[in-house]
Amino acid sequence: MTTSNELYFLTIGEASGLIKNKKLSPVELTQAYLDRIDDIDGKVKSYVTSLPESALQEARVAESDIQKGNYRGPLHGVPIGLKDLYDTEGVRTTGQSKVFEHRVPTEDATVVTKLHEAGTVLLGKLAMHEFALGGPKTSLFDQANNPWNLEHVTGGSSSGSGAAIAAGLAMGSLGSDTGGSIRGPAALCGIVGLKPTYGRVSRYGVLPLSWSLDHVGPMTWTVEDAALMLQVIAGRDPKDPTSSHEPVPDYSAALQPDLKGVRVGVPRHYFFANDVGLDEDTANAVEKGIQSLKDLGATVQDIEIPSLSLASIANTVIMIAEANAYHAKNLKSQPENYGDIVRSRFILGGAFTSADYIQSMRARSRLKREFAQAFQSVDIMAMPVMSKPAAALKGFDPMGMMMSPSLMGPFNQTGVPAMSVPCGFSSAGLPIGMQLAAAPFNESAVIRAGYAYQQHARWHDQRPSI
Amino acid sequence: MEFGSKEELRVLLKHSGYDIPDDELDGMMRVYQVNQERLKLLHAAELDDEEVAGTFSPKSTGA
Repeated sequence: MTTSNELYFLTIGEASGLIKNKKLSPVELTQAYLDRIDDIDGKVKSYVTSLPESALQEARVAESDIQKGNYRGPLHGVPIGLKDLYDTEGVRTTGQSKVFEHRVPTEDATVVTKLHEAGTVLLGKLAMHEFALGGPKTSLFDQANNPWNLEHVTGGSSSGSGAAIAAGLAMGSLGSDTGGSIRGPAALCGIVGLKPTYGRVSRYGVLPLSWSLDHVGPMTWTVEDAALMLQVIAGRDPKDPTSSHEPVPDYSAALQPDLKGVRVGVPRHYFFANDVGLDEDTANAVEKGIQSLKDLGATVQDIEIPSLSLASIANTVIMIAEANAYHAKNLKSQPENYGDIVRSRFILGGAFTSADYIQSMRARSRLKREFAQAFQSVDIMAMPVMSKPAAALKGFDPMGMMMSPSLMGPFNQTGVPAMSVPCGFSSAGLPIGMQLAAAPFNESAVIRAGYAYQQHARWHDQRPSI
Repeated sequence: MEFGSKEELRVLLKHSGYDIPDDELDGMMRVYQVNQERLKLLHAAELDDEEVAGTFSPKSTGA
C-alpha cells in the first residue's frame, strides 16, 4: 500500500478547490491521468475505450472557461470514466458484449449530458461484466484486474469503475447496480460506491439489465466525492418516466463529522448468519466499523426483518426474468455473440414462470413494508457488503455467486439508498467494505454516516501500490 | 417429469422459445436446481394479501 501526493490521487473535493482558485489546470490534471493510464492500465485493464484527444480538448475548454470566470461547480475540469453501458454520443457503447460491438449511440444518456454540462472531462469508457451480469470473462475486451492484487477479481459488474478509481485512473466514475454492481466492486476495490434510491437518478440512455431493479450511481474515492457527483446527476428526467419528482437536497450539507442522535440498526439475523459464509476478516472489519459508528455518537441496536429470507430468490427471479425479456430476441438470433456465462444466466430467466415472478413481486412488497417499519425506529442500517474479500482469478467460479444469499439485492428490491464504504483490509491486504442504507430518498443519511465514518477511520489514506 | 430435472428445464425453456443443446443445459443445471429449491420456499411463504409491488397506473407516464 502507498500514500501518494500525485495529481491522479487527488479527490474531487481536493481538486475542485484548486481548480476553482486556478491553482490547478484541468489540462495538467487530465494529462496526469492520461499518463497514468499509459503507464499502468495495461496491467489493470480498466478502460475499454480511451479518449485522450477529446479529453484534452474538453480540458482545454474547461480551463479557458474557468480563466474567464465561468466556473460551473465542483465537477468543472474533473476527469472521469464511465462504465461502458452509459450511452455516449459518437463513442461506442458496447455493454462489453460482441452483440453490441459496433454500437455507437447518437445521443448521450441523460446523466452523461448532466456530467458534461457540469464541466467534467471524459477520459474513456470503462470495463464491465457483460451486460452487467456476465463476468469476469466476457465476449468482448479483457477483464479488469484488482489494483490491490492484480491476480484477484474486482467484483462486478462495474469492474472497470472500481479498478480505475482505486488505481488513480479516473477521479470519479458512474457504475450501475441491479443486485450489487456498484457496491460489490466498491467493496472489493476499496472505494466508495453509492446506489441511490430507485428513481433518484435517470436511467435514460443506460443499457438495462432489469428495469425495475437497475440503479445509476457514483463510484469515487471518498464519500464527499460521491455526494458531489450525486448532486449533479440526481433529479427528475422527463425521458425516464421512472425518475422521481422528489426534490434534490444539498447533499454536501450531510458532510458532518459526527453521528450524534443517529440510530443505527443491524439486521444481524440475516447479514451475519451462518449460511452467508462471512469470512473472519470481513466479519471483524464490519463489526469494528459498526463499533466506530457508536464511537461517533450513534446508538446501535439489532433489528429483525423477517422477509430478508426471501430476498435473494425474489431478486434473482425479477432480475433474470426482466433481463431475459430484454435480450430474448438477440439470445435467439445471435446466441454465439453472448459470452457463455451471461448467455446461460439470461436464458435461465426463460425458465421462471409467471407464478414465480408474481410471488417474487409480492415478496418484494412485503420486504418494502418491513423496511419502512424498520426505518421508523432506525435512521441507518449497517451490515457487510460482500461475504469475503476479492477472490483469486485463478479458479474463480462465476456461477457460484448466483447461489449464495445476496447481501446487496434487498436494497435493490426495496429501492432504498445504500452505500459501500471501505472499513478495513483482510490479512492478505485486500479491501473490505461496510454497507450503509437508509429510507427512500434519504441519501443524506447515508452520506452523513459514510462521511463521518470515513473521516474517523481514514482507510482511504491508503492506496494500492502499482 | 421429475422436479428440478433437465427435462423440466428443457420444457420450460422450449415454452419460452429456446431450443438449448444438451451440453448447455447440463451447464445450467447447478444454478437451476438451486433456484428451484429456493422457489419452493418463496411459494410456501405466507404473504397474506400482499399485492404486486409497483401498482399499474393508467395515467400517462409523460413528464
